[in-house]
Amino acid sequence: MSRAPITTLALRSVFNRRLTAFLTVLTVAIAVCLFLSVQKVRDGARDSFENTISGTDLIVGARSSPVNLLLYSVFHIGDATNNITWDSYQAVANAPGVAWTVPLSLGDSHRGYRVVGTNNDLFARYEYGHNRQVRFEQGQALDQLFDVVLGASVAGDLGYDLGDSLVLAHGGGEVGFIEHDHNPFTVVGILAPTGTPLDRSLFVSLEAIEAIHVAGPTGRGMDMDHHDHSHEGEPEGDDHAAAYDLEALQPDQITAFLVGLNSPVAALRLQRAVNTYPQEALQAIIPGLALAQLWGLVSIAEKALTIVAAFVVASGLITILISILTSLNERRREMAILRALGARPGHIFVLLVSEAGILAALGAVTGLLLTYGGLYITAPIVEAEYGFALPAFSPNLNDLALVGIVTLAAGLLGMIPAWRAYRNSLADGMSIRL
Amino acid sequence: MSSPALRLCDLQFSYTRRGPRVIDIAHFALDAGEKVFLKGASGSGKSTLLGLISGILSARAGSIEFAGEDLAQLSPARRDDLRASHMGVIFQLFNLLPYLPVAENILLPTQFSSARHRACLEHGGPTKEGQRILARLGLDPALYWHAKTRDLSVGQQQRVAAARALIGRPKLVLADEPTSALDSDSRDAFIELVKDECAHSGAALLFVSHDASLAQHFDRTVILQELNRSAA
Repeated sequence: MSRAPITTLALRSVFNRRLTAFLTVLTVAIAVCLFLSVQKVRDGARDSFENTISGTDLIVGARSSPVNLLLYSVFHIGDATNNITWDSYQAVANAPGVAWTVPLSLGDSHRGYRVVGTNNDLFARYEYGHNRQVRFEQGQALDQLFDVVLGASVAGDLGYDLGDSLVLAHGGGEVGFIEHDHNPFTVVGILAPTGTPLDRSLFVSLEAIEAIHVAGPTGRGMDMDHHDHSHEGEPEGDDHAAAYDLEALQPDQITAFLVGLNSPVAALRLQRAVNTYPQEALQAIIPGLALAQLWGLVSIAEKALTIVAAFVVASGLITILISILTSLNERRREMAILRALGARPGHIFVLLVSEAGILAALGAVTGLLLTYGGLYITAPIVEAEYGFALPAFSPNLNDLALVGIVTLAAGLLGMIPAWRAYRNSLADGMSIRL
Repeated sequence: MSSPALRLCDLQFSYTRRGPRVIDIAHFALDAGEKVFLKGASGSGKSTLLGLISGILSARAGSIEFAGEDLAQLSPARRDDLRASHMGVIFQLFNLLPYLPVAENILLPTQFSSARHRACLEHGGPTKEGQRILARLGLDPALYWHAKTRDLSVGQQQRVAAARALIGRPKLVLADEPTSALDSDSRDAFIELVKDECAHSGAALLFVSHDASLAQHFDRTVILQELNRSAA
């Protein structure tokens, strides 16, 4: 009996009923695709989420909630409730053990993209992923007062090149209600894509933020007489920045700042010191912890989706069971013929179990390919729209395990019809009952 | 023709241990190569008897000697092996697996049994042997070997079934009313062809039918009601 071609027969038999088999496979494929997609989107979201910022030991801002501070300082979602004073910033920046700080001043926008007032330390210090550094695709860091550096998506979506001028607006909306059109900025640098909110941001100097706000809330800017040429490297007379007094543009408050420490061990101590800073209500967060906390909130939805998807997979498996059970009566003759040819009842059992397994495996693999195909098509769109990278084609052990589990589960379910067929084949013997 | 291909002794069978006895046969033998007509009306226990002889059912008492072994003493799995290797079965109707073409239906026994496969190798291989038998049963292999099962008439299907039963030189062919769906002309032709091919390969033939008019084709006729003491 070693030559018994039972699995081949199972395949041929399935193929003979290919329409129902196709629909069954499709059901499983869609279920598996849904399940995998939920996982892939979650993985992609979590990866880009956790990779948004690294190498920064603390983020300091006005006291609110850690998640809120993380959202507005790193993800540029929502607004700060309060700013912090320059003096407080300086106090922390000069505290022992602090290696570097990067100030962030938020609140302006350009055609829906956030403008970040900062300094060139941002490009040198900001790290994402596994300590990857920000890199310039084109151009260079900020130099003149009205220079602007663009994130990759900003440049790509709005079609800016080096040397273009643009106007910033106050407020974070798509249509800024007050445009600081008095002070056009010149694009001097474009960053390489990072897959972080940096891609969707514009970077100007802190002084530039002050300059466009200097005439107060109307935001008209002002034409200050030029006093000071001490601004280093400034080409004579060819830049309107020269009209501003850089001393006067010293910001007296910022939104938040990033802190790098000489030794990460000091983070907890400095965090406590910042949180209990007597002069101002400050708050320091450790990015990794805050990210985990934020992800904990997000992952409730992800868990709900995963559970729903798992139930869809289960119903797909039950479809296999139904299709085999309904086919069982009309196939009693097939079983009797096989028995007459020398098939053992065990072979009949294997025949039906392997049929369930074949349908499930085909469905699972199809679902896998559907998922990869779907991700291949949608990943660039998602990355452009939402700024996080989906793993387009990254077969991993989990995917294969899912195929295995689905096939195994179908095989186990297939034992129900297989057991019935087994008992039938014992009872029917040589007679074929219709 | 001295040693019997099949011998039943004091064979008793009931479907449940305490249930009514369905088969009670004192003695029945089939010589090697002998062609016997077993006449049985419905209800005489012929399906049950075929189930016992083919080894699908287990005897409650007595012996079934076949191919030098007593089926009653063997495990169900051994009986399945023995059937695969040494018996060919033709049913009343719908003998073929609808999803396999003619060729693969005929060759199935050689895949279930290495003995049948080896027997074919002595005669030029399974394909050659299958085509030869199909041709002898009156179906041109050039036309029908690759045909789809559903394109065949009932009579043609029964011939393919006979070819499948005969491939690999089984010792015994069991035919359960294989001609009941055929008209009288093709019925006689079919029986003659199966008989000839059994003679050619040396197989014994146990042909079961309720139709007494078929008895003329066979060496010997046994009436199941007389043989089976349990028959009503």
